[in-house]
Amino acid sequence: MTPTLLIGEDEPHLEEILCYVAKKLGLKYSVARDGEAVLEKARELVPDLLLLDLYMPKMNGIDVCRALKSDPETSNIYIIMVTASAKKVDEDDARLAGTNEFITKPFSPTQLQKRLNEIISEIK
Amino acid sequence: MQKIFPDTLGFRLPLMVSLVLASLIAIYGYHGTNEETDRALTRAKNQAQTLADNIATASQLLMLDDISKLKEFIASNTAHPDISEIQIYNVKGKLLVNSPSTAIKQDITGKSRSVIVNKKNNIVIWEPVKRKGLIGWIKLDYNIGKLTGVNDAFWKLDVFDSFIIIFVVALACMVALRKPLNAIQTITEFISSMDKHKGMKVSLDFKYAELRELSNALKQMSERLYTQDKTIKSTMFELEMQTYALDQHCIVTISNIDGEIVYSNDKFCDISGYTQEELMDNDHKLVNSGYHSKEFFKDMWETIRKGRVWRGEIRNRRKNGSFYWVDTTIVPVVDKAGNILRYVSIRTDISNRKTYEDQLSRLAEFPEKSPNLIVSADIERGLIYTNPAMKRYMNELTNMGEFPDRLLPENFKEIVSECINDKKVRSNYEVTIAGHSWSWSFSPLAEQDIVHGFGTDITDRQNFERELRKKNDDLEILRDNLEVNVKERTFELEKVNNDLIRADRAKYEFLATVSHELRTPLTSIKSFSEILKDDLETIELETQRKYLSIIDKESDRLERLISDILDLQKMDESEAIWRDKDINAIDEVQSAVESFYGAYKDKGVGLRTQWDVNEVIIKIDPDKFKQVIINLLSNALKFTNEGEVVVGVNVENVVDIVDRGDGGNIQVWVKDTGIGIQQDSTNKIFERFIQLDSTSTRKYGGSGLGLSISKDIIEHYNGSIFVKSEPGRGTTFFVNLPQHDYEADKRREAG
Repeated sequence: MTPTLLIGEDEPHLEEILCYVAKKLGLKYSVARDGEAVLEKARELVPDLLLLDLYMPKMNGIDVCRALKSDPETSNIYIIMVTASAKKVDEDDARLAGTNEFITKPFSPTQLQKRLNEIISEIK
Repeated sequence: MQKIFPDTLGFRLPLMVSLVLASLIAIYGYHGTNEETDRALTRAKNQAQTLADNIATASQLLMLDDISKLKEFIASNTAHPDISEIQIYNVKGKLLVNSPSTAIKQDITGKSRSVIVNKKNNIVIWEPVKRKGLIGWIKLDYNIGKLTGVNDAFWKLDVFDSFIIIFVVALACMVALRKPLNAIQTITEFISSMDKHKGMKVSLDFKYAELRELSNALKQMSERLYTQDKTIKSTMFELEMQTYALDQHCIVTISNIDGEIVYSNDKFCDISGYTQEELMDNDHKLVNSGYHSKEFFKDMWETIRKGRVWRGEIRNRRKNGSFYWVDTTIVPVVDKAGNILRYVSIRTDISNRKTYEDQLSRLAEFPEKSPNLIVSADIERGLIYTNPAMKRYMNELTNMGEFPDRLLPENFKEIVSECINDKKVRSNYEVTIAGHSWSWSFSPLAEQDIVHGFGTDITDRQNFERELRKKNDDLEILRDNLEVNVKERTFELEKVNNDLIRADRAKYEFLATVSHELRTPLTSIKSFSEILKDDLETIELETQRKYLSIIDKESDRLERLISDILDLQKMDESEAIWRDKDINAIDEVQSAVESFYGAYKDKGVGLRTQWDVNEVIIKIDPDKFKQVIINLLSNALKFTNEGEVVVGVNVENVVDIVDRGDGGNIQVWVKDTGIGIQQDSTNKIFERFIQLDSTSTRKYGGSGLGLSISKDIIEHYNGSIFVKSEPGRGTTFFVNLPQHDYEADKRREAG
């Protein structure tokens, strides 16, 4: 069964990069451009993975993460928080909210692809 | 009696002599008559005895049985004219014969033989009748009336003669005694007159006045003598005692007229330490201590040589060298002719007194020399003593026209009476007058109704205290000021600190934002570069171009961001370069608006301009001016999602917060229909590094530096930038710039 990936990213260029990576991995992916949309789609799709931008309109990544992790239906989604923030407090907040991983921008698409591959293997 | 018979010797003596003479005569006459009578009586007695014997014999013979014979016998015998009564009793007491029969019967119990002579009338004889024992008694009463009749005759003859003799003799005596008695009286009167003034009453009860007077006088004399004698004796005794006491108490020496000691008592030896032998014939110089001047002794000698008593206090030296003080009295002993015989020196050891006196005088000096005020007072008189210091200050006050009383506490009188009443000390009454302050205390004197007051000058202390208080006050003020300063400073520091904290936090936020903003385009650049590099062969050409375009745009964005940061840094450190020149503000604004048409069109937000003039010349750095307009347009676009943004330029009717004058204002405004800003945040948005809401700002991107940079630029040109906003309806930014004063430039150039 093909692993599913939800991409939560408001920056169009970054969204494109993430989609590119997902395509390369052959994942079944979907995109949401604000926090509320991410939460809605995640509940609807319950993906295996969620690449979540920390700063998003309407609802930030941390709140989305917390909501999903507190819900048994969605708590198993492997969440990777992606952010350009250099603030330690953001990472701490994300970890507390239950995020599985934390990736800082700028990232290497190759490295991200490799890591996603590993995770998919682990999930399987 | 005394009145009838004068008690003088002149009367009494003749009377006595006469009486004695008369008595002698009487005794002689009486004595002669008595002898006659006694002889007659003896005869009568014998006769009566004989008769009684006869009757007894007869009765014996008759055995008292034949009463008739007895009666007969008795009848014959009683015929005797001198027999008045005959009674015969038997042994049992029965009256056998009673002649005359009227005679009274007698009791014969215990009778003895007796002859009783009753001188005037009769002789009673009791004769026992015996015959072989007592058989009865005979009582015979013999009449002797004739004998007394002889005496009476004699008296009648003699008394008359005697009176005559007495009278004659008395008269003779009186004549003879008159002269000597008068003499005695005269002498007596003289003696007694000598002491009459003493009023001595003598009551010796002599019969004769002369003698009585004389004896009184003599008695007085003797009493006087006795008293004098007693006085002399007691005086002698007292003198002896006094001499003894004097010797015991005083140091006594006697010296001759040359001053050599001829007598010294033990006391002198004791005190001087010299023996009698050492002192004898020596001079008083022996004990000279050298303390007194020569004049002192010269005066002494001059006084005593004149025969006057000298008295003084002398310090002498003992044999062992120590000193002693003596109160000395030197008495010159002078004879009747006025020649000095001796000098008697009487001294008393006053060493102790001298010591006390020294101490006392030192003590007495205390109030006199004390700089403090000392007074004594009582209730009645008020002040009774003031020491010199007190007097001095009182005079000073008087001279100054003040009441000298004002040196004392106001209620001085009450204090004095209270002190005297309760005998308690009172203190700490402060008085300030004429530049001095005094602290008074009052103490009552035990057993006397006097109060002593002591006033101490506390001016210095008070000044000191005042200064101290002032300093203290100053210190307090300083402290208060300091507190205020510290508070103010603390407040300022807190403010600064808060500002710093806020700035620091803003800086941190800024750095985080910068980092975020830098990373975002960098991520795009890096990612697409990597994708193109790795997958160039598999990516379509069109996509490759798109990716390269993204890299290009993001590089621009990165560059702009870096440029902004550098601009800000430059302005911060005043290193910005200003290339001012005259430009048409309308042109610059138009140019900036045109550069945004694409972006606005993309977002679907309208953008238009609004101005009435075509040229507004201002002297300004065109790049900086344009940067401000671009910032505002960028900002408006970021926060406006629908509607339009209008950019305007005004030259007249400029709305300004501050009227800057100087050639009027140019105003550029940018009005949007965006989300708006809360009223309390309208100033905050211009602060550096400050962004209203990090999260929301991220949403709209940008560095948040645009407004801050714009403000710096406008303020450089003495302009102002401000905002009016209504949350939810839109925001208008105004930029006011002073129009350059060209006239001033011309004047400067001409000048």
